[in-house]
Amino acid sequence: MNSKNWEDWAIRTLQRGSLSEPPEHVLKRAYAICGGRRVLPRWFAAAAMLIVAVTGGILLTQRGAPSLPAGPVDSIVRSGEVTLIEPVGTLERMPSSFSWESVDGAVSYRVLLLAVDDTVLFERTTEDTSIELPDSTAATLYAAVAYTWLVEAFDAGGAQVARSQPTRFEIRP
Amino acid sequence: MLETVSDNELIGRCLRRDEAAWRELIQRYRRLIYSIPVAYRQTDPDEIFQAVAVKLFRNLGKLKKRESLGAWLTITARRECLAAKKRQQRSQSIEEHPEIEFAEDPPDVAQAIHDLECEHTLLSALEKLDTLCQALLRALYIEDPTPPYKEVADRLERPIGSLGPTRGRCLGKLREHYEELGGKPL
Repeated sequence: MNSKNWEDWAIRTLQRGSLSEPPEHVLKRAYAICGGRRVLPRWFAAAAMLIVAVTGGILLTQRGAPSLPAGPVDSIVRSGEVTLIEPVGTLERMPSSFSWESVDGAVSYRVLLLAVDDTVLFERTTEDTSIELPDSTAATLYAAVAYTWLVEAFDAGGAQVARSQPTRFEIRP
Repeated sequence: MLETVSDNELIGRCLRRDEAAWRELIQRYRRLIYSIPVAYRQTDPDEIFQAVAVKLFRNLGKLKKRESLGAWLTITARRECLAAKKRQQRSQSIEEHPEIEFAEDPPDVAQAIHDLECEHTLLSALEKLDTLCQALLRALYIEDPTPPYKEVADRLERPIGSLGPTRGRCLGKLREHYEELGGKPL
C-alpha cells in the first residue's frame, strides 16, 4: 500500500474511533484478579467469627439483646425446582459451604461450581442438602471474580428430577 | 513509566505478581478486549471482559508468543463470545427451537473484528509517538470537534505553516510504529 493510501486509512481509522471503553467497575474487577488477593482461608474466617461471637456475647450480657435481624428468606434464590440458599450475590468472605432446599423424591444431589468461563472447579454428589467447600478448592478462588454454582437432584433410579438455575456469587475484594 | 515497557516485560512482571504491571497490561488492551463482545452484540460484555482477563491471568506463563498478545486476546474473546452465544441459545429454547444452529462468525463481525485489531494497533502506535506528534494527530483526527488550525498551532506553540509538514512527518512515524507492532495489512 502506498504512503498516501495508508495515511488516508490511518486518518479515517483515527476519526472513526470504534473501539469501546469498558466501564470503570469492569476494569476494577479485572485489576483485582492479580495481586494475590486470595480470599482468607476458612480457619481464619472461623477464628474471626469466634472472636466476634465471644465479643458479641459479652456485650449482649451487658446491654441486653438487640432485636433480631430479618431471617434469610429474602436472600433465598428460588430458581427452577431446586432452591439454592447460599452462597448468593456479593459476599464478604469465602463461603465455607453450599446449601439448598430438599426436593421431593430426590435421594442425591450433584453440586457444580463453575468459573466464569464454565470451567468446572468443583463437582461433588451428596445425599445431604449442603456440602462443605474443600480448602483445596477454596484456595483457588479469587476475590472480585464471579463464580457460578448449580445443583441437580436425582431420584433413586439415577434420573434427574430437578435442577437449579446457575446462580452467581463473588467475594468482595 | 510502565507505559513504555514491552508486553514481554510486563508479562514477566505479572508472573511475579506485580499488580502495577497487571494493571498496565489490562489498561493497554482494555478497549480491544471490550470491543469484541460489543461487536458480537453480546448482552453482557462486562462478563466476557472478565472471563478474558481471568483466562489471560491463568495463561500468562503459557503464552508462547508474548509479542502477539493482541491476537491471543482477540481469539480468546471471540471464543468467549461464541461460547456465551451457545449458552444463551441453549438456555432459551433448545427444546422449543431445535433448529437453532450455532453459527460461527458472520462475515460482518469478522470484518469488524479485523478492523478493531487494526485500530487497536494504530492507537498503540500513536502512543509511541513523541509528545508533539501525539498532540498534533490527536487534535486533528481524534478530538471532537476538531479545533481550528490556528488553535492547534497556538496550543503546540508552532507556526501555523509548519503544521502541514509536521503532520506528514508524524504520519510517517505512525506507520513505522504500526508496522513494528505487527499491524495487520489492511
